[in-house]
Amino acid sequence: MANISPELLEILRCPHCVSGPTRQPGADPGRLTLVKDSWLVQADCGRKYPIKDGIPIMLIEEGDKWINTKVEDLPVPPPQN
Amino acid sequence: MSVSFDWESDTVNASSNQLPLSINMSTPEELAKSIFSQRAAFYTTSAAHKDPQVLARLVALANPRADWQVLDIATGTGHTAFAVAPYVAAVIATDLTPAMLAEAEKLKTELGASNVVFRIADAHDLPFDAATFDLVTSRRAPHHFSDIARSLGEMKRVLKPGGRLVIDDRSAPEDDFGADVINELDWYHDQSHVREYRPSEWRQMLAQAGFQIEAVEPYTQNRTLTSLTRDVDAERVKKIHALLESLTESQRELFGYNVINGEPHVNHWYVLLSALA
Repeated sequence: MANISPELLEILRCPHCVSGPTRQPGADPGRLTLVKDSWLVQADCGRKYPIKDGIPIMLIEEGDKWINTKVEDLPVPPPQN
Repeated sequence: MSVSFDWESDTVNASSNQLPLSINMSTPEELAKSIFSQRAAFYTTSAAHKDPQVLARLVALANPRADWQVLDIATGTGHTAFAVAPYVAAVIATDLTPAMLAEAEKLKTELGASNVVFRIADAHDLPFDAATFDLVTSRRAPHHFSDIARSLGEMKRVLKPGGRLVIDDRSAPEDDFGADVINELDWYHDQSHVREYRPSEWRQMLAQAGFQIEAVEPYTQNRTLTSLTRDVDAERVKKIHALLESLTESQRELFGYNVINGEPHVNHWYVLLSALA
């Protein structure tokens, strides 16, 4: 269960794209799309954040792990480690 | 005033829940994750972490409103999030450590706190849009942050203009010697501590991050020495004892270093802060 209501998805962003020196240009960078009910995908940078036990893992290093994995190849459920 | 008791009788915990202090990790965040994974269950019930008076004061400073969206950073097992939740629309609570949030989820179910949700996130790279929250809280955590200026900048970014930041954190006396000693003692207690800032340092850091300070409320608690030595390996426990024993009479007074009912006690410094973005 994703535990992500549309309202909560609306305010979540890719941390790489919104924070610090890596912030991307534009008024609202880093928007995420819920995929397979268990992944949050940032289309521009390619980072993908798993939702494990209902809790999104919104760490840049976690997103980095999946940057080269195609959306269709993302495992469901996401691996525990 | 004199303190005399047998240090050797102070039990040093050498059981299986001793922390792996030889782990070779570099960042405070990695260390914190490792240490707090093992302390998660303890923090659920820790008196120091769910101190009702401090939580009540934090809520009073926050002065929450029913329509507010709240972010609680480094929530641990969620005590602050649950304290604020009854007064606001929603609380998003973040932590670096999955084991902490697993405990927090259990508490959420027990408390029926349906307006609290959890995310794994780093205080230095918050995964939220700008100007999202009416209130940001963080308790007993900023002294673990490796780059406090950056995390305060992130708190400012995600707060709505005029939104409120309320922090409760470990702190230090203004006195140079006292500040150095409490930081050294706490580092022996937990190597993921980065620095416990004096109230005057907090004022500077908040101003530099662009906050308008509303309240700075330092307080101390005289707690049993086990608050520093619990789960600490024997070598570091020795260093804690040696450092305290080296204090002069007046320094002992500053540190509230006394035996009460047969148990050594020592002061801990804290500060409650409120500021507007």
